[in-house]
This record gives sequence, structure tokens and C-alpha cells, in this order.
Amino acid sequence: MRLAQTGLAAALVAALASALLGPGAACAADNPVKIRLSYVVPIANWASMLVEKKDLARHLGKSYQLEIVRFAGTPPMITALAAGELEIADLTYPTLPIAIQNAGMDDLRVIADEFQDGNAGFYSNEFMVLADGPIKKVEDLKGKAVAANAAGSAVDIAMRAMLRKHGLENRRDYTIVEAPFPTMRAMLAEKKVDLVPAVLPFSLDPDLRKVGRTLFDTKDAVGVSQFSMWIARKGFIEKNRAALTDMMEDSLRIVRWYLDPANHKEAMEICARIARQPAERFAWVFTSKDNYRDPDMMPDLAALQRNVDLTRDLGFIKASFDVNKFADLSVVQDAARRLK
Amino acid sequence: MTVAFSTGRGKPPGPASGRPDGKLPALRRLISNRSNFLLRYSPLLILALAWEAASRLQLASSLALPPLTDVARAWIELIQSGDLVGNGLSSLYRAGAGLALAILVGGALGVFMAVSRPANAMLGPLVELFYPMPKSALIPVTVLWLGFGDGSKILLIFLGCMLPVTIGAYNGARGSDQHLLWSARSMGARGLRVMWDVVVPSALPELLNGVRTALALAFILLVSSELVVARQGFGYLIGYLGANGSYEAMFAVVLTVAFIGFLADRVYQAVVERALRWRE
Amino acid sequence: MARVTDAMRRRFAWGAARLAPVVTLLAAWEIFARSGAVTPFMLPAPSAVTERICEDALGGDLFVNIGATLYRALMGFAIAAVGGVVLGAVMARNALARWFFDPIISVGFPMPKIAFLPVIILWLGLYDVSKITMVVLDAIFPVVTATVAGIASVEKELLWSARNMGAKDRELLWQILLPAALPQILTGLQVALPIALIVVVVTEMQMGGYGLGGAMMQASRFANSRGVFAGIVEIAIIGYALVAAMAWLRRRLLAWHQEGREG
Repeated sequence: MRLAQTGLAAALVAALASALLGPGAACAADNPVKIRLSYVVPIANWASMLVEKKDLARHLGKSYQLEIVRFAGTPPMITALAAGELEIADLTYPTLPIAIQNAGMDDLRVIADEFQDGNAGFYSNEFMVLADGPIKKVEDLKGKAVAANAAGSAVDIAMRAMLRKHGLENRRDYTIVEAPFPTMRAMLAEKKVDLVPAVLPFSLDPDLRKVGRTLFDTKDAVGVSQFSMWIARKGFIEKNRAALTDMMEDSLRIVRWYLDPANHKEAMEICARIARQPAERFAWVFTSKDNYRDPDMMPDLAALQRNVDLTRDLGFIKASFDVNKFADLSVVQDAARRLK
Repeated sequence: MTVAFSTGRGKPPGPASGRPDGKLPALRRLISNRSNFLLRYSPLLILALAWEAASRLQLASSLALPPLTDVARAWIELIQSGDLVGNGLSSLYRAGAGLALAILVGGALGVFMAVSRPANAMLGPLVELFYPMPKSALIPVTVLWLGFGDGSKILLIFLGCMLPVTIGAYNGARGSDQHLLWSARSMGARGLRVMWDVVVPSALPELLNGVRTALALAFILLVSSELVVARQGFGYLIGYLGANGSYEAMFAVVLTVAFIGFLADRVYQAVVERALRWRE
Repeated sequence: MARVTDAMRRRFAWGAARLAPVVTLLAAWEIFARSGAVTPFMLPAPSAVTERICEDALGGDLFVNIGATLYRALMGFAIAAVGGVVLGAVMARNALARWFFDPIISVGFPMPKIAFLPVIILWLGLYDVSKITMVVLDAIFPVVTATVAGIASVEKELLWSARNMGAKDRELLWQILLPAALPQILTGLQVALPIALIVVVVTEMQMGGYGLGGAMMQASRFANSRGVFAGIVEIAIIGYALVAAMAWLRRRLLAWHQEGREG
């Protein structure tokens, strides 16, 4: 018994000591600027793709270090930005004004585009109903349940905007239910809801295409949207402009490599590897069947202004503001000039 | 047949019905008798077949519940690419550190709260306030001090695992024989000595069952703490693969976590049983 | 008479002592939040959080959410408690049941069951049944293991002598085994109750809708820290009350037992 007790105590102390002394001690020389870049969805967010083409990042490890961090959603990203635990966040058009107004972070700046929706000749996220179901037009959704990935997300806002155009209001006329994107097909097929958003790559699922029919797309609802963009804090941009420009230059080089049709096959293979799915499922990536990604990573501020105004109209933020005051495109422009 | 739940109070584990089975430690029997091993774990096989059938027969949408054979295939790929091992190691480090802290601090706290009324009054309310909180909701607070790295995750696992240990130690120690305590005191034993010789041994059976609960919770907590923000770990893999819609691979990771938890539980049971035999 | 007031005074003093650490924590939080070291977004002051809780209470939302969350948590807990004790007792008494469930419990306990939420939703729908099922799936395990451990540790001499005195199996279970295992079973329930609360909140955060978890998730999406912290405080208070009620129940039920006496 005594032996057992002593053994237990000794084992615990040893475990504790190794736990506390283990890693964490490795602190690299702080010469290169550490840039942490967030992402939520692999492939759709540039961060997950950049690290797969490190060979094109000439300044990586010299003037900056890149660390990509996965977040389950945008709320913890805002916390991370505020706590100085994240340098560049990829926020969507509703979360940017929420962070600026509700979290009081008026030092946030849009620095680059991630992807847009509804541009001519490119994919726009769809909203689907059962092909042989009772919903023939938007008005038929009165009294029904509709699915969104999260209340207040860009997808949710586009959906609410469309339903409002047709005289339907949340809670009064329909119910919003939350479900993850990958389960949308099942939600629709098993009639748990009557309308589901279909975003890439799930909108290409042949089984979804079999049971579903597109009722409208995001372009019909809100026109062009500056869906997702890179955000950094003013202080960080000013302090590390040189390193950030280097990072942006590398990013642009990689983004253009992916967008170049000559590299399409290799890009598909990279997607297959990180998604752990067969390569032929990724024929759409970085083509006209994908959402628009600007080769200069220039965000569409006019579209963003409309999106922010819409976010206010739907009651998610109190007031709108001039988005130009919250954008600093000088870095991405400088970087693009270097590549000329 | 069973040694699995043997944290006997006072006596070596014996089947409640008095049937004379289950004398060998689980681990030894596990190794020595292969057919017994198969028979013993065949319920898992039945469950696996039920899963496969549910998904093949479309009882559950194969989207939400992929067939187990596809999960197995995804698992092999994850092992081959090295993803599972690399992420697993960082997760296990966090779980181990959080659990060790929880056992050490939680056990000591429980025993002290049982023997000292002031300690109970000071610490009890804090333990009771923090335990029933969903740990992922605390992330915004822990980030203030510990950032998004290992520290905040270890803290969350520690907080989540601590209460079963504390409650076990507290209830066990309170159940210890007062006469034994008094006689130990009258024989001149003081403070820590009394604690170590009298209170801890009598608290041990419940404490050990508390540790077993904490062990299982550690695996659940490590996933939920890594789901929110992470660069690596089992929870990161689960979140990443889930966002992708690669549910086969996601369930491969979920089952891996469950299996490691299962192994840890079995090893723990075997060790505890060994240790308790010294009492006789 | 004097002795009664003495005892009452002492009880009151201990009550105050129990309050002290909580008050200290709140004071430290308020001071830190107002010190300017953090923004109100990162850590809102407890006074601001209290204000928000009062607003919710006046608007009535608070009670709707608490009601929904408590209903789901307690319903799930009750099912897990009854089911867990029955399953545990059957496992302890019946070799076949033990053979079947023992490995399943060991694999199921550490499994991150939240990954099965989509399947559960597709099977059981979007509302309470799914959430309660998730609670049962997580809370039942500590009850089962505690019941099995409790019954297994009943001393053999006790059993033999009961047998010799002609006790039947049923009597043995109700009059010897379950009472003797009660302390451990109650420990299992004490562990399971907070788990039930945690799981229901986490599930609500995933699924949205009414409930404290849904309200917290909503607040978090809108970077409304006061709302998030209000949720944390509300859950802490409810959890504290539940844990305290369970401890009280334990003292009541174990009045006959060694630990029931005031030490």
C-alpha cells in the first residue's frame, strides 16, 4: 500500500515536471517578424494553400515567419486579434463591422482580398430546395424552416436579404436552423428544413444535385459581395510594414501561381492532399467555377460598402460607416508593384 | 470475467455475486489468452457491425455516418501520411499535463477540504463555481493570460478533470474512520503524517474511481479545447476534417481518441489493481 | 437557548466564510477590468455583466433560456441517473451484461461524442430530443462506472452472511448491495450532474435556438462580451446551485453513513 502510494506520487511529480519543462522553451531569435494568419475552411481560405507552396515564398524565414492557425469560426478570431495573438484574420463582411463596432476595435484595416461572390463569370453560392418539393418560389417559404451555417454569417445575411425582398421576415414568417455546411444535403434530403445554402465544394455534390434545385443564388440576393478579406491592426501594419509587404509579395506570387491555368493540375493535387479526397473532385478550384479571387488580392471596397450597409439594414449592426476609412491597401499595392 | 471496475473499498476486487472469477490482473490475462481476448471484446465487434449496417442500409445518411470500412480506410491513410501521429503527440502531451495537474491539485484539494473546515469554506465555492462551466466558453478568459497555445488548453483540461478527483478524494476522506483518526492523533501523529497514513488510504478507493473518470474526461476535453483554435492536435484534425466534409477521416480521428482513451483506461485499471493488492 | 444562538451564529459565520472567496474573486475581476489593462471587449467588468443580466431578466429572455437549458439538462440527467444505476447494477450482477457492456463503456466514455451530433440531429430532429440525447450519452458513463465500482466493492463477508441468513437475490440487491454502494453511486451522480449542464450548453452552442448556450453563442458572434460573460456567470450560478443541491441530497441520504456525521 505504502509502496503504491509512493509510486503514485512519484509518477505524478515526474509527469508534472516533464509537462512543465517540456516544449515552450524553444524561443527562436526574433529577427523575422512573426505573422500568424487565420483560416476556417481549408482550400477556400488562402492561408491553408499558401503553406503548400512555400517554395515560392522568397522572403519566408528571412524577413517574416508565417504561422497558420485554424479557428472554428470568426468570434474567437476577434478575441485573438484583440489579445495580440493573431496578426492577420480572415473576416467576412458581417464580422468586420461587428468587430469594429461591438468589440470597439477601430484600428482594424482591410489589407487584402480573399474571395468575392457574384462577379460576372464566376461562381455564386446557391440556395437550394427539394427538386420535387413544395417550394416553387421564395414566397412559398412562409412558415417553413430554413438552414444557415450560423446566424449573422455572410451566407445567412444573403439568405435573409432575399427572403426580405419577398416580404418574409425571420421569426415572423420563417425559422432559421443552424447546421454545418457538410450536413446540408442530408438536412434537405431528410426534409428537416426546406431551404439550404450550398457553398463550394458541397454545392457540387452529385447527390445534392440529384435531390435539389437552385431557388436563387447570392448574386440574386445581394449582387457582388466582398465575401472574405484579410484584416490586420493599424499598429501592426505601421510597425512592420516592410515585413508585411514582403509577406504580401510572397502571397501574391503564390496566389497567381494557383490562379494560373497552367498549374491547374498541380493545384488540384494539392487540394486533394489537404482535403484527403480524390483529386478529380477539385476540377473547379481556381477556375470560373470557383468564387472570384482577385489576382492582385485587391478587395472590392464598393461592394464591401454595400454589404456593410445591408448588414446594418438587417439589424446586425447599429450604424454603417465609410469602409474606406477602415482599409489600408497600400501594402498590397506596393507588393503588386514589385511583381510587375 | 470482470476486473474492469475494480476499485474495491477495503477488499480486493471480487465479483459482487461471489462467483469465483476474475483473479488475474486484466493486462496479464489480456496477453496470455488470445481467444479469451477475442471473446472479451467481441461486443465492440458487434457494435462495429451495427454501425456498418446502419450506414450501408441507409438507416443513417452515409453523409453524417460514413460506413466503418470507409472510416478504416481513411484511418490507414491518416497513419501513412503521419498526420495522426504528429497531431496525436501534441494532444497527448496537453492531456497528460492537464490530467497530472488535476490529479495532484484536485486530490490534495479534496483531502484538505475534507479534514479542514476553513479549507473547505475557502476553496469549495470556487471549485463548485468553475466546474459546471462549459470549458470552451472560458477560452476568451484564459486567452487573456495564457494566449492560444498549450497553456490555455492545459488549463481547460485541468479545470475539467479536477472536480471528479476532488469530489472523490473529498467524499472518500470524509468517509474515513474517525476512530482511526483519533487513535492516530493520540499516538502522536500530526498533520501531514496523519493525512498520508490514515486519510489518504481510506480516501483512495473513491479517489481512484475519480481519477478514472478524470482520465476519460481528459480525452473529451482535449478535443473540445482544441476545436476552437488550434494549429495541431486531435481536436484540430477533427475540426479541420469536419469543415472539409471529410467525415470518414473525421470519424477515424474520433475513434482513435476513443481507442487511446480505452487503452489508457485498461492500463489504469490494471495498475490500480496491482497497487491495491499491496494493501492485503 | 444560548447554545442555540451560538450554533446559529457559528453557522452564519461559516456561510459568510464561504462567500468570502467568491466576493474576493468578483472584486479582483472588477478592479482588473477597470484598470485599463484590458478593453471591455476582452474582459467586461462584473458590474456591466450584472447590468446585462438584469436587462435580460426584465425582458424575460433570461427565464426562457434558463428554463430551456435546465429542462434539457435535468431531463437528460434524470434519464442518465436511472439508466446508469440500472445498467450498472445489471452489469455487476449479470455476467452476460457485463461481458457486453464493459468494453463498450470503456470505449464510449472517453469518446468525443459531440462529433456524432450531426447523426443525432438527422435521427432525432432539431429540437429537445437531440439535445437531451446528447446529455444522456455523456452523463450516463460516470453513473455506470460508479455503480459497478460501488457494488463490486461491497465486502464479501457482508454478502456471505446475508446469504447465510437466507437473503434472496432481490433482497440482497435492494437491502445490501445498493445501500452499501450508495456513497459511490452518489459520487457518480455528483460528477454526472455538472457534465449534463456542460453538455447541454455546448450542444445549444452548436445548434442555436433558445437556451443559455444558444444565447451565449449568439452574443459571441456579435462580439458582445457582456452577453458572453453574462452567460458564463449565469451558468456558474446555476451549476453552483445544482452542485450544492446534490451535495445536500448526499448528506441527507447518507445520514446513517460514516461520512454523514459532522467531523
